[in-house]
Amino acid sequence: MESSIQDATILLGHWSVFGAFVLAGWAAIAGALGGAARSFAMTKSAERAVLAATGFTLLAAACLVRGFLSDDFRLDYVYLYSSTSQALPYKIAALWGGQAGSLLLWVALLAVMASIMVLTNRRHNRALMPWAVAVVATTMAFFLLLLNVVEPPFRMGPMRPDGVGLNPQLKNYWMMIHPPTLYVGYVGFTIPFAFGIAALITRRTGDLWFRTTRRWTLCAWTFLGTGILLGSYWAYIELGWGGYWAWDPVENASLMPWLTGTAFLHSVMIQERKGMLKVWNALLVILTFCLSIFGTFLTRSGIISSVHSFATSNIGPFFVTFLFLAFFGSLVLLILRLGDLRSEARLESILSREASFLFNNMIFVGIAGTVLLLTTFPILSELFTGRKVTMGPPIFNMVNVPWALVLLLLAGVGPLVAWRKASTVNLKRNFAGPVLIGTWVLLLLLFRDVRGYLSAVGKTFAAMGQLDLALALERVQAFYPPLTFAIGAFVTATVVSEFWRGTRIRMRHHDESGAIALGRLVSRNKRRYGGYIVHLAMVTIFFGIAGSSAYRHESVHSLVPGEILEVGPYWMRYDQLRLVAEEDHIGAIVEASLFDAKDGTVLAKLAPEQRLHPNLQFEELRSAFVEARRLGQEGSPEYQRSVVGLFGLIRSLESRAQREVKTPSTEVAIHASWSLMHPARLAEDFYVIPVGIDPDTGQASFRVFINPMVNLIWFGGLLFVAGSILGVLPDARERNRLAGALALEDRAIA
Amino acid sequence: MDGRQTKFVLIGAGMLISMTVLIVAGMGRSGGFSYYLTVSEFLVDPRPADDRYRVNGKVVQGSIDRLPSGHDVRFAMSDGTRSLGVHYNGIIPDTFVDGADVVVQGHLGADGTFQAHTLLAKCPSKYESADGAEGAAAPY
Repeated sequence: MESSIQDATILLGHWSVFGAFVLAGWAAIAGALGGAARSFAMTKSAERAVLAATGFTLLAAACLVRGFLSDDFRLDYVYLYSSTSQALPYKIAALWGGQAGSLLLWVALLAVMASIMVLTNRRHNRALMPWAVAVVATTMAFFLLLLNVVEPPFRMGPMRPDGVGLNPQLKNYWMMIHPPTLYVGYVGFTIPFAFGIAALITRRTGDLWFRTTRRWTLCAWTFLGTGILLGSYWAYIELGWGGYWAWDPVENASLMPWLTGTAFLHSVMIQERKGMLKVWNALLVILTFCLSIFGTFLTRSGIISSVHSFATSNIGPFFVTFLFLAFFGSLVLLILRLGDLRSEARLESILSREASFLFNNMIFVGIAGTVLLLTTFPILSELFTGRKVTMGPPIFNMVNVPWALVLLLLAGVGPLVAWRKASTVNLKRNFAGPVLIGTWVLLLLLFRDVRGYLSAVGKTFAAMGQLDLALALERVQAFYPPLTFAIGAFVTATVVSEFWRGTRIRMRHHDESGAIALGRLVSRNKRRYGGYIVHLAMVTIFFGIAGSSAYRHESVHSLVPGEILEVGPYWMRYDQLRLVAEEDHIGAIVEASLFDAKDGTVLAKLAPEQRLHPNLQFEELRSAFVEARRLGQEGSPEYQRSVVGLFGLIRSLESRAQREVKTPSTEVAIHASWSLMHPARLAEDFYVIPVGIDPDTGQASFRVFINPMVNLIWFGGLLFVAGSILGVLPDARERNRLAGALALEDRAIA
Repeated sequence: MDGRQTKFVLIGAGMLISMTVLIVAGMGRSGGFSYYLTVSEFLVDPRPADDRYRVNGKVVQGSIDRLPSGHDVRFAMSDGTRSLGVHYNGIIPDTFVDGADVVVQGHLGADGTFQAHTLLAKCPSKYESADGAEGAAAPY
């Protein structure tokens, strides 16, 4: 009975993927026909096909999940990413553990969004909708084509007793939330792109298309940003190298669309208000969509490791074709429509809000461009010269840090500088205080280490004297941290003054108390104040990055149980070594106590751990492991001995079998200081990784990091989410604007 | 084009030039730009003093010799044709196992051993599909 259900599930899943492809293909064709012939029936048919395709896609995903839940190891995909012992949440998360499932999740998310788009626009946007549906359905059809032709998720093999299982590094709950969050971000940009293209095709290039998709864009952008932050947090607590961002191609892939998306969010405001930058906005939405697809391509095609692996990976050529068509097709369309996109106003002054937004856009796109160039340079070099090269983090930092600081400065300037042309009065009124505060912070920081900064100035000039520009630019980096704090203080002051001024005016005019006035001020204009909160979040994140990269301490130590280690303001006592045999690994846990060096109070108990996941294909190892697990349940002293024996067995097996019989992993121990008693250490992490542990003697070596202010990054991340959500929440003012645009459109069509 | 537009174009051009200069400057820094070679390619013309080489290959089965310090390891890496002895001092990544794809950066020592200061390792294709298109290191 069960086996026939399993057979039916696989069959159903397999044909659902096919059915979804056919329906998405039809939706694309019918949408285009409906748009071209202005046929209401065709458009309706396209919209229904999207809904049906969504149903089939979800059905396929459900069938695959069901395959995981029922341990159906006939399915290659289930065999590779799951095992009988895998806990339930990881059986579900294994859906996106590999290629086919990730693509299926991607298209399922897109399908759900497409359906929401169809359902919320049943009566609106009748001119744009057929084309928007066609664009989204084409994207869906592309991914479904991959799933049907190249990466079928329901590929079957012989029944196998057990699966390989998910990589141990992926088995933590970040795996459950980080990839889907990121995917929602990537996928979400398809909707604004679709409306942008629809606006270009139909020549309805007013503000309707981006007003309709404002919240879509903001949502996608929020999810993408959150996904990036979650990814760096995951890397920080799980991967054990003490850092959170390495300019890895996979990280860059997610950062690029976020950067152009941020630029887009800003520059549409100029189009809304002034009818300027129309071409630029269309270009940005095209870029953001293409970079999202490119990001998926970078992470999924294997092109990063080598052009050669790209040639063997089979989805690569499909992606390149799709990207090529999407990008150049959109570009050609944009060029054909240049006549419809004339600006309604001109820039009048460099000291104006328009100009500051334009600069912000140029920097965002500039940074995205450099990241793109540096990320793809190795690929291009290998393709054209046959020489493989790599680009390390220092290049990325060299280019991006100074421009990111200018960007941060603009986050303070942009919202307060007047439209058209700022008067001296406007500048004085809004910026005198914040500039003073920023300067004061800068001087304070410089005076704290006068000698150090003077010598940095000397070294910079010395390098310039030797005409060594690279060295001079490197020396200048000593000034980035104090500059970051000064600029951050300036931005914070401008934002706080905005809140303060708005609240005070309300208190006076409406006779409200401070709290009520602040609450109403924010809720009456969520987009604006949400934006300010996001700016504050960025300041906080910049502080965290500056503090943790400039003042970090890193050292390696070797200790025996009972020994005390002194690092900075901390003492760490290595109390004892505990050995355990858990579900799928044996672990050596270093139990340690962390003390405040000043007064000897206990700050925390730490338990960093080194784990070995034994390869249970080796019978000898399997039986010893099972035996140790059995003893573990009794908690006897033989237990410890048997686990020590396991460590020894692995070593001897390896020398005998001449191959590795385990997969090691490390659990980091982190103590974060949040005590207000030590403001200098606020948000600081004491971060310890066991490097090598001898289970016989208990001798262990550690790598210890003190990462000051690093928690500001995560705190800023929460603030970012809060501000973004505020911006996405329904807002009466925005609703009226959209309703106005829609009414205008309806009249125009009638 | 009037004066104001010229100003904006100039600012944009300045931005572009400065970014280019910064990229070129960044390439000159250690840890920035480096050549990525296979063991054989490296051994054709090894320059002992130069640090701008990253050599990649597979860890030779059974060659890993972890020294008691816990952060020293000696091993041999090979690209199938030639092999290179490596000594690495630093944090040993969890993914560093027999058969793993590794990338080392450092210089060739006087004794012919490669002295690595950076070691990157990617799991052998144990957790991946047969085409091995992606490494287990990329958890997406």
